[in-house]
Amino acid sequence: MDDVGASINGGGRLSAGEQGGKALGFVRGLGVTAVQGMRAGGGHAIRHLEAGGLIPSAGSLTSRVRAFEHIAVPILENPTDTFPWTLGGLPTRGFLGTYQGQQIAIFVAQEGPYQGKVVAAFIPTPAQLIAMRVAHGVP
Amino acid sequence: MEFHESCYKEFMNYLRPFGDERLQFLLYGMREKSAGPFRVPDLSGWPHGTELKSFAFTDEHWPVVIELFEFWSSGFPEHCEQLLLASLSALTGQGAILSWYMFEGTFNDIAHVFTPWTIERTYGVARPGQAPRLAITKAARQQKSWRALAEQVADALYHAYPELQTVAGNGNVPNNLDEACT
Repeated sequence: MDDVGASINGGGRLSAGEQGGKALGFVRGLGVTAVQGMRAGGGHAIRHLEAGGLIPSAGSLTSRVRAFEHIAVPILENPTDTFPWTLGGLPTRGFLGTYQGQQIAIFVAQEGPYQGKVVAAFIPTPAQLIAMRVAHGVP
Repeated sequence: MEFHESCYKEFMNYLRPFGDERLQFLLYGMREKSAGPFRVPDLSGWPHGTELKSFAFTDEHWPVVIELFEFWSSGFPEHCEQLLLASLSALTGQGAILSWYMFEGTFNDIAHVFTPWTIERTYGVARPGQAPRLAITKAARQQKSWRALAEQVADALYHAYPELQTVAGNGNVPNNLDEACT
């Protein structure tokens, strides 16, 4: 078992993804805990997916956060890849997955008051994907 | 004092959140919901090719809107400090309740815009009646004077809009998954 996911909150919280088996995600049923409280940010962490057309930019914040949850939870629980990543100085774990044919990167804080919470998500470019894979040793 | 890349390596690393070479500057401006949107910031002075994206965050019970101007700069601006200060002042001049620069991943909760944790990830602040201030280096962001300034700003914000501390919590507390699994 890859140990990359074990560092989220000190281990024991991530399980091997069912597809591919090498990436570790949240235990089934717990991915939703990473998106709880997101309304407090007014949609900040989901803005890039809205800009990318994956989440409707119209509608209530509640509905948009739910749309994000629909995308994010399967990726958090069954990512194609995970990797450590520093985001604006904040240690996070990145979770890669696919939605509607688009690669999506979701970042969960590893420390601080938002530990275990999604703090950012975006649609990476090929160059950014390369950088993320280099960051955890994938050529 | 002008910026020199060698002196601000850490700052620049923080400005590259997604793995490419471009630098991301996140300028936030808060306004009352009834006020019109801010004008798009002037890009003159920013490196050629700088892109600007804008977003607006609010919720049905918020009395305010937070507009985010996301600058993607191809390089470190030659007169970065002046640019940052000018853009903060421009928002204040348009009636912003508050404006600030933060690193990606920091803003997550309208009820806790400036806490000891977020303050160390905030590198510019402006509010009406006071000159905008910057704290570019980590040492500057950790100074007591910076923390005191940000706390004053937060106190003023929540004094003026106390509902912001009660409408937005929604369970945004650290996620102890160990306990959730047992």
